[in-house]
Amino acid sequence: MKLFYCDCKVYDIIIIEGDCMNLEEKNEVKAWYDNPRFITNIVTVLLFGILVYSQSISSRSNLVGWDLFRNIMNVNLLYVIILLYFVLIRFKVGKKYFNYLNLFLILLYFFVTMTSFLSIISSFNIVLFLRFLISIILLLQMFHTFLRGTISWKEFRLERSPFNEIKAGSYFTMVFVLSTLDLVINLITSGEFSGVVLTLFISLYYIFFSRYVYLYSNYLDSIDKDKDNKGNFDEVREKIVVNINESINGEKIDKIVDSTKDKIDDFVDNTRDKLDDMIDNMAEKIEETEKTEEVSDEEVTVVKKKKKKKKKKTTDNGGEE
Amino acid sequence: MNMFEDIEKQKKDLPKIKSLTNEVQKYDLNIYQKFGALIIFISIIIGIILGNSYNTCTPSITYGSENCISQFDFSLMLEVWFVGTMMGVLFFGLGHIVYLLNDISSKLKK
Repeated sequence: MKLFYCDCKVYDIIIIEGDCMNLEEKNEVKAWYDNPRFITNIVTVLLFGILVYSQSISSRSNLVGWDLFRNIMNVNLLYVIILLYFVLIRFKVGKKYFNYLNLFLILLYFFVTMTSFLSIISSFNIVLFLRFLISIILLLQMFHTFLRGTISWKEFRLERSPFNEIKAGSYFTMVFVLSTLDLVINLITSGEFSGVVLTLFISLYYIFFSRYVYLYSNYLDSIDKDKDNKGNFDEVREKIVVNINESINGEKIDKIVDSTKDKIDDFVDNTRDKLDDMIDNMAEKIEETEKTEEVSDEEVTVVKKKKKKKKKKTTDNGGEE
Repeated sequence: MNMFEDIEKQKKDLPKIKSLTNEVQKYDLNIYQKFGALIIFISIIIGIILGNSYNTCTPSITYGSENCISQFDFSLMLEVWFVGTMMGVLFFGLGHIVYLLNDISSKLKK
């Protein structure tokens, strides 16, 4: 179903013509935070920044060789894998195996959540606790978003999950609040400028990554709406009414009404004239037929008279003989 | 075009679990292959346990690099996983060789 936004003129009672712009085209002009491509670009840049900056901090701690590699693995493994994910989805391979990559991401975050829980047990820290909460919320959000478009959603009946009732916007809000809180705590407790920059990058990464998942959830909602055609018709009708009311002012309506009235009057007059002409023609034909009937009657009487005269002559001739 | 629309047109759906299990059940694993799979599974669990037990001391980015926070040791876990996977694959390959040799001997006997 195509949605049209029209600056319309009424040429006929039935047909509406004019300069119409496809609403779908108009809807592509989105804000930057609703554009998934822009969000993925931001996340990619943030991840790259986290990796480079954290390695610059590690290099200052005089680690060499295997210890440096181990430090890279411990601190940045998650960011490396997610950066790889966002790079792969730009290519055909990533797009083809998008569901598989999402499943791997869910498993990865499940593992990260588990390890952060174990880290809290070993050394409790408010920052670690906040990151544990953020990882749980991200895991739930990814689980209930990325698996929605797959066959596993129906196979395991995941729509019955209690966390499915939480809206995608709520997940994003929770991640936003927690990551902001994490940033504030780190800003207060931070003793180095490098720590401030790194925590800023990490907090922004959490927010934009959650936004990416939220946008995918919105996209899946839009697909479901178009398939069932529910909940969309009222919005479309309202948009059409609003657009028509905005485009057509009161003066224009009067002009349109007057023009249609004139057209109707012209049509009626024309048909009336035609009917009159037809009636006149019919009357003439009837008169002609009547005249022909009168002539024929006169001819009949004349013929009859002639016949009578003939009969008289024959009888007179027969009598004299 | 929306990025997700582009992906939607090209993406491949996940396979059903039933079809996966049916495919796996087609193969009869001998004792060596089962032992190899068991080694891989055990190495995964041991890696997680060791990663938590011998947790690393990462330099704190907030309190300064002199202080450290004990965190899960991913590198130790990955090392254990790597070694366990290599051993499991070795035993799995050995089992496959045994299977092929059994197949050849049965054909020769016919």
